[in-house]
Amino acid sequence: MMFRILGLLLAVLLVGLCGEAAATTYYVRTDGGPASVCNGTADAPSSAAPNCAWNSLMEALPPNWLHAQAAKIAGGDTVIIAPGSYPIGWLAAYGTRFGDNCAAPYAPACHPQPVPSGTAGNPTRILGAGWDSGCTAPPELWGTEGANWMLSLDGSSHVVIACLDITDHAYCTLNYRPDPARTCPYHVSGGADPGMGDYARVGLHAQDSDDVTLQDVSIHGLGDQGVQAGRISNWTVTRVTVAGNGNVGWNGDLGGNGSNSKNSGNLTFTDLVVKWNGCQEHYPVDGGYDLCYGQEQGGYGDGLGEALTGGVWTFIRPKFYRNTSDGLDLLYLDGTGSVTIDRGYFARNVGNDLKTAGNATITNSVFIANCAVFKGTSQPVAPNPCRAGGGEFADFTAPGQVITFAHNTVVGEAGCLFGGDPTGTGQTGSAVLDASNVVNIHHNIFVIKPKWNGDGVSCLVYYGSPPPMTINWASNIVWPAPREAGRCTTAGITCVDPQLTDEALGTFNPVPLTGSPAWTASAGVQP
Amino acid sequence: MSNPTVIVINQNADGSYDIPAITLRPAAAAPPAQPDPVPAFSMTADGLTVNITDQSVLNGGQESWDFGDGTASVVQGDQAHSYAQAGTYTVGLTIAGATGGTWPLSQTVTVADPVVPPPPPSGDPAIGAPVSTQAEWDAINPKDA
Repeated sequence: MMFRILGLLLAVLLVGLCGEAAATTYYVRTDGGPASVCNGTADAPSSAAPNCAWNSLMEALPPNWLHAQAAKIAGGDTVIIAPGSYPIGWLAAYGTRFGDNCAAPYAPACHPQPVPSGTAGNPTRILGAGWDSGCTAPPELWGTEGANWMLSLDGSSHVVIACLDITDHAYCTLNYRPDPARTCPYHVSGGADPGMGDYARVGLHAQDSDDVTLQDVSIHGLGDQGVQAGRISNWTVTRVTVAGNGNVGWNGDLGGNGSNSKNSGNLTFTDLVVKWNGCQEHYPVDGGYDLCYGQEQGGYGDGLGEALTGGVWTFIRPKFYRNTSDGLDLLYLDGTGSVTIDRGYFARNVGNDLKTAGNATITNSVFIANCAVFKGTSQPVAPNPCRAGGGEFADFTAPGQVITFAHNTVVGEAGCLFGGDPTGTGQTGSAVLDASNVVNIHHNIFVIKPKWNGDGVSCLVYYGSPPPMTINWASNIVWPAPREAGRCTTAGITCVDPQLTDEALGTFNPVPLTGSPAWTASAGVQP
Repeated sequence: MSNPTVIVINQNADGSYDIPAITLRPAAAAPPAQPDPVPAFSMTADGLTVNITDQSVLNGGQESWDFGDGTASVVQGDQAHSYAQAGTYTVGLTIAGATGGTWPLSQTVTVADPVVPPPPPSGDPAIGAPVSTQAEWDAINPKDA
C-alpha cells in the first residue's frame, strides 16, 4: 500500500514536471518568417528555416474572428519578441495568410486572437527581449488599418505581458469632431486596400481575465483607447505608461448594462503613468501632444476610468496628469472593495484629479488641481476647464466606511480642493450617510488659489453643510483662508503660510523651505 | 638757517675798493611746519573676522596696528584680521609722525562665532507630502506635466 501511495505521488510529481517541460519558447524577430516557413522555435532568421523565428506576433496568434484558426502557441508557452518594429493589423499579404479573417473589408478585425490562458504556476508569456534585464529596447508593436485592438486578453488568464511598446503610426483620433482632417477613418474604403491608415483603435483589450501581469509596457498614441479592460481580477500592473491616446487612456467600461464591467480581486498598480489622454500623441513621436478635447466637445478624456466595479485597488507612486477629463476615476466602485493610493502625483487633469468611492486611503501624495490648464491654449477646441469643479473627490457608498486623506500637499483652483457628495455616490444610488461614515483629514497642506472661473477662491473641503458624516481634522496647514467661513478657527486647521518652495499654481513646488512650519510643530501647528 | 653769502671786495692799486652793488632783500620765509597725522578708522565684524577701513590722514606718518590679540601689523591702509576666538578686542592704530611724535587711536570690536545656517531639515516634513528636497521633487515632477 505504501508503495502504491509513493508511486502515485511520484506520478503526480512527474506529470507536474512534464507539464512544466511541455511549455515551449517561441521567437519573433524582424528577419523571421511566416508560420508557413518558420516554426518559431529558434531565435534565428528565416534563412534557417524551418527552425527559425516568426516575423510577427500575428503568426503566433492568427486572427480567428470569422474562421477558426488555432493559435500556434499553447497556454503556458512563452513568446519572445526581438527589438524592432512590427505592424499589427491588416497587411496585403495577410489576405492569403489568414483568409477572410483578414479580408480587406474586415481589416479592423484582422488582429491577433486572444492570448491562450496559462496556469497559475506556468503563465503564458508575451515578452519583449530584455524583459528580464531592464527592458532597454522594447519591441514596437504598431497597429495599422484601424485594428480594433492590438493585443487581446479576452478570456485570458494567467498571462504575463512585459517589455512592449504598443502604439500606432498615425496622428489622428477616432471620432475627433473638432477637426475632420484629424479624425481617424471610421470605415474601410471598400477597395483592395482598406484605406484606414496606420492607426489602431485600442492597444490592449481584456475581459474575463484573471491573474495577469503587465510590466514595462507603454501604450500610447492609439486612435481611441489605450486599454479597454473590464471584468478583470487580480491584475498586477508595474511600470506601465498609458499616454496620448485620443479618447481615453484606460477604459474600464465594456459597455452593456451597468454591471457588465465589474472587476474584482486585487488590482495593483505600481509606478503607473497615465498622461495626456484625450489628446493625441504626435506622430512621428516628438514628445508632444495635441488635439486635446474633452467630454463637452464630444470626446472623453479620462486617464483611467471605471464603470461600476468592485476590487481592491492599490496604486503605489502613480502619476496622473494632463488628461482632458478625470485623472483617476474610481467613483463607480460599488463599496465592496477599497482604494489605496500612496505617493501619487496628480496634476493638471481637466476634471477631478481623483475620484474614489467607498473605503479609501490616500496618503503622501501631491495634487495640483490646475484644472483650467488648457484654458486659452491653442487646441482646436480646448477641454472645458475644471469639469465637475475639479479637485479631489472621495465619496461614500454606504454607512460605516472610512476615508483617510493624510500627509498630502494640495494646491488648486478647483471649486473645492477635497470633498464628496453628502448623499453618497450617484452610480450606486444615493446612500443615507451618518456619523458612522468617517473622513480623517490630517497632516495635509492645502494651498488655496482663486477659482478658475474668477468666482472668489477655492473652498477647502465640502461634504455637505452640515456634513452628515464624522470629519476628523488634525494638523492641517491651510493657506490662505479658503472660501468657506470658519475654517481657520476649526480645530485641526492652522491657517499659516506653509512656506513651500513655489506656491504658484503653474510652477508649484511642494518642497518646504527651511523655515516652513511643515517640518516641525511651529506657528501653532501641531505635529 | 641757510648758508651765509660771502661778498668779495677787491682792493684797487690806488688803494681804493670796488664795492659791488648790494641789493638787500628780505629774508625768505621759513617753510611751513608738517601737519600732524590724524588717525581714524572704522570696523565691521563678520563672524570672527574684522574688516578695518583706514580713514587716517598720514601726513607722512607711518601706521602700525595692534589687533588686541597679540598680533600686530605695519601694513599700511585697510586691514582684515581674523580672530581665533569670539570676544571683544581693542584695536589700536599708531601713526608715527614724519618729524617725530606718535598719534594713537584705539577702538573696541566684538567678534562672534560665525552664524552657520542650520542644516536643511532631514527626513520627511511632519505635515504635507513627503517631498523633502529638490532632487526628490525633480524625480516626481514630470517635465511634460
